[in-house]
Amino acid sequence: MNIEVRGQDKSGNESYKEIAENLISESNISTLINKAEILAEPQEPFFIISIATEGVRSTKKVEDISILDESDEGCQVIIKDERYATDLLSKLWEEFGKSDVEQSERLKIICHGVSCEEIEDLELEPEEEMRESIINLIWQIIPEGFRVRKSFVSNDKVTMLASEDRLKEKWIKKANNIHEDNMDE
Amino acid sequence: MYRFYNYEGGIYKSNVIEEKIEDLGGYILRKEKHSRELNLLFAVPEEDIDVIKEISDEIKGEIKKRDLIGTEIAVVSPSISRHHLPHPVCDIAERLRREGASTSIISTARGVGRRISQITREEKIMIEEYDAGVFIFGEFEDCILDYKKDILKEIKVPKIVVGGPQIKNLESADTYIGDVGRKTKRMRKTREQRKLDEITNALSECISKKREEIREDPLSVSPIEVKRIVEESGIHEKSDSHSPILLHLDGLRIKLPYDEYKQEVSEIDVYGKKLGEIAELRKSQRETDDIVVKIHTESYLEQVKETKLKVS
Repeated sequence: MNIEVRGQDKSGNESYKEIAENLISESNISTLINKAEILAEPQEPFFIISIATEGVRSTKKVEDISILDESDEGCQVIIKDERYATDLLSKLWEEFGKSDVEQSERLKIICHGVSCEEIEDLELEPEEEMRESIINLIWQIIPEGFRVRKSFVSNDKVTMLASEDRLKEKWIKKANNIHEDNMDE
Repeated sequence: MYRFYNYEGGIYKSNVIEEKIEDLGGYILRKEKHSRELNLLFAVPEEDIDVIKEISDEIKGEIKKRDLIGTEIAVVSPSISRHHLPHPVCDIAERLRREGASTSIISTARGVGRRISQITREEKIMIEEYDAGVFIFGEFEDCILDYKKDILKEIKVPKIVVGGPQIKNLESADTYIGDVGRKTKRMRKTREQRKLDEITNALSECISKKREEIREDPLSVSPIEVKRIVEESGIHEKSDSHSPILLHLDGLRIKLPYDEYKQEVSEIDVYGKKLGEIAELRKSQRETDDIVVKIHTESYLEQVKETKLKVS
């Protein structure tokens, strides 16, 4: 993971590098973060942070990540890729209720009274959850007083511009440039 | 004048020390036994400590002077969010407690940011109830030098400020200590532990100076004696707190609601005078509405006496 901090306040840059490193390594998405870039200019004042991820999971249909098997009790879902297990279980709970969805084994879920047809077209959106985690992480890193914020979101990257004053056009351009630069890489 | 000390040593024959402290007119403020080890926080008149040290040497104990015993310190953070809590606020408060101080953590409502950072009048008054304040600032030099220092301007108690950048002299602060800004982890590293020591030493120095000032213009009665008298009255038993009376440099905090107990407390007899006559009783800004007792100096009481004589 590469963290780059720029800005005129050298000691501030070093501290924010440490803060970002610690918070990212403690987060549950640390392995998915590829690069973090910070531009801190407290004199202006603005703070831009851009986090790029790698290996973002795209939207998946349940039938793509599991084997569905009709049984007397209901539909048996055998998970092929364990990384999706928690998301899938949450999705099934959300759709059919906790009482009808039973995780009998680590990779086996039985949906009582539910046919496989109802399940196969369900979609998981891990991207959304991931984006939420990144935004939470960014909120923890940026200085608390900078409450006027604008974010730029694309598939594998979230950039946020924050200040305590009204956002100036030139800052927005800078944030946008950082966002697009990172995207090219 | 009373000075505060800490005895660490074995339990064997420690009762000799305890008896001696009492014989010398001293006070045992806290006594903690851990297996065969004893930790004693006590106060004795400064000139008598050598007698205690002699006994301590005989029983292979150790006596250290602790300036922070008998003080209540405010550790002030800019907010209660995860950006500033629990670290480094709790690490600093914990270290000060180990040195014998009572600490409270105060988070200002609008202390974050630079231009927008501010402190309310109530918050200032609340901080001034304490003997000193340790203020935690952020990481950017520009913010601290141009904006945050204004928060400190009107606060009259000694102020130790900690923050990220290295600043030689921060206007309005008694001492500034760098490299302690936002922390995301506990301050466990040797470098960080040294910083905590630095904070404690700076604060002890401020407190010593304050004690010297009090010594030059002495209080009419020592707070520790007032504490004993209030405890003898039994009023503190009505408080739910495990430490109902806290010592300050120039008074006490009695953890009883001001409106309900003000009269009763001010009537307590202190060497022939009412407590209300030799001290000012204030209502704390804290939600608990504690009674803050500020003992008048001898010179002030003399002045009041003279004025009364002239009028009559």
